[in-house]
Amino acid sequence: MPSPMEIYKLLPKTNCGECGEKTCMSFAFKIISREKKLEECKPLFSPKFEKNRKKLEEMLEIVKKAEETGLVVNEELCIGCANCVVSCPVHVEKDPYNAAMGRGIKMENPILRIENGVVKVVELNLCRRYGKNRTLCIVCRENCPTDAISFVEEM
Amino acid sequence: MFEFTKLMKFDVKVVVADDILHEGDKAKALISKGLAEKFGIKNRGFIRLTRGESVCFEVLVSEFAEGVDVVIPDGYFANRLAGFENPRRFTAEAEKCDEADVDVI
Amino acid sequence: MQEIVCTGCSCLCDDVVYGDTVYHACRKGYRLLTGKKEENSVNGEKTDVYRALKAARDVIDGKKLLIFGLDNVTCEAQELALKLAKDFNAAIVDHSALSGGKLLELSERLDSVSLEKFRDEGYVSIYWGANPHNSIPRLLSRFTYYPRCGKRQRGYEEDRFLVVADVRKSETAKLAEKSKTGLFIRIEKDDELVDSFLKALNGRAGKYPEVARILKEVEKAEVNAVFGGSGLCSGLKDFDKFEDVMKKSGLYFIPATSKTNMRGFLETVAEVTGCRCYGYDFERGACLNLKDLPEVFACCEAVMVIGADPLRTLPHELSKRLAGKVVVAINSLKSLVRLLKPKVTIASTLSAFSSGTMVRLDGVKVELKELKEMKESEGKTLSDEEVLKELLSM
Repeated sequence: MPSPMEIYKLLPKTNCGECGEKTCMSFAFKIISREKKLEECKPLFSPKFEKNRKKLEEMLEIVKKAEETGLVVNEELCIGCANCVVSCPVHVEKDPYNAAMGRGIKMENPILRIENGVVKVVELNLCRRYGKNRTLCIVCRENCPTDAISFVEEM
Repeated sequence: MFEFTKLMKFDVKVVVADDILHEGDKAKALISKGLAEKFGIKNRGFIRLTRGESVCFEVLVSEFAEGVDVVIPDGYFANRLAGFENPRRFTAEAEKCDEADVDVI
Repeated sequence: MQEIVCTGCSCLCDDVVYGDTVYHACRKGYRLLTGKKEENSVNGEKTDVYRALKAARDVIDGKKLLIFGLDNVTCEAQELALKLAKDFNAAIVDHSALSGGKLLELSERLDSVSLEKFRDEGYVSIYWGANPHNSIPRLLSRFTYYPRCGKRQRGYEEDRFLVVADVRKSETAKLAEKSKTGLFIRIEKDDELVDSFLKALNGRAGKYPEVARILKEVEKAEVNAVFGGSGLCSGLKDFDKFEDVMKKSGLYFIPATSKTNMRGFLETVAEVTGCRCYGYDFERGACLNLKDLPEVFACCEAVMVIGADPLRTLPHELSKRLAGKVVVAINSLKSLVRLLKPKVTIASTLSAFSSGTMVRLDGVKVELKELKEMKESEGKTLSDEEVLKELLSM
């Protein structure tokens, strides 16, 4: 996951304000939190910054994949161990005799489920990071042994 | 430019470990910081291990305990080098190379 | 869609749902369940199973035979393979002499505990030379660390203590290091850690001071276990001292060997031959150990590979001895056996789709669930057990 500083380094750094932000740094933060889009930085689309723009687009490919809660699953790294499924507090509460006990999750629309050997996001509305009363729960990420789960920063 | 590191050869301690992502079918390995420094490898590079036969691995730098230089995934490539008496830990000769052996299909 | 038992590793997960989508199987299991299926052939030409069976029988008749593999097939098939070996005065071996056998032997001498009991009551789990996230991927989530049940309702954050002792910071070690209730010991020599345990048990400090904390944690619960992996097996020199530590500390021992039914094979060999060993040579009437393997591989005239891929799993020092031998392969999935140019290949049903029993890593027998509706792509094949029965009856 790119950091705001990595994004900032590739921006024009002129603080022109065309994007509606006071500084390029604050624009970089909002890019990561997906409140702003790269297209809103007009100078970046001039030939002078073409190289930087391409680098940024490449870098932000992963942010595009982020779900509503900022969750990003890199399936190539996932080994399907199900640590995330079993440790998720919502699953523990809603599926106490299966997921909570280590067995394959049986609740109808879980947040995460292992399908075809890797973790898939099924129903994000249940995630504690979602909605009005969201919390910064990171249990699934913390228990992923291969760093296949990450969150877009500054949600 | 000629690389002097390509002339270097070292005896290295190899550990074979299970690797679910590559299942030993890809010639990928991890090397210690110490060995990487000797070969002038910063993050990623290629080394040839020889123990009777030779296998060229793509390597990433990692951290191990003292006495472990290379960790290779269990499978086809590891078994080309391993001895039958202790197939999980052995000594091999390492040198720098330009590319890894092709994957097993 | 049907629930099956995954035979991808020795965890034998019995909650996997198989259909167009495979649910709950890890990457290793999924790869096995959806692997490219083997085809019946004689001299490289496709044929039907009965012609292949006849050709196989003709090939092995009158030849000095080695039967190899068997760690991925059911106990029933293993028993029939042993019968075949006996009838043909053949030698029969699996992978246990090379890796894992010593761990299984240890588990018979030491106190052990079932994974279900550990799930319900286990507190300290010590992964010694084991990285289950690569060998037995669901072990921690299904049984040893994450489940909340029995006496462990408050979950891994408060109710379990995770220790990893390894030469490198493996995936499991990273979790232990991150955890508030865990620790990672980067070991140089396994025997030095054994020594630290012995010293700590006598109130003294050894090379690894963390051991004192582990022993304190062990006192908090009745069920604590060491999960010994291949690293322990290949790194440890003094097994007697290790046994001493296990007995004095009250820790249970569970072998973290990943080969699906290796434990079943060793038990079946013991039942049939009366010997606790890694294989048996019926011609000499002798047990086979590691040092016997080069000769056994070199001296045979024909090799029957059952549920195995020797070029992937055997050190080349041994597998190269199979070159030029007459090979009969009984496999479910395509493998590198093809490089040995087998005379006969018999495609069998994947054990996960067959009936029968296998022995899980903790010694519990698990009944497999036969797949009722084979997808068209699975094709109609005989199980390993049926193939061996046919070969015996010819």
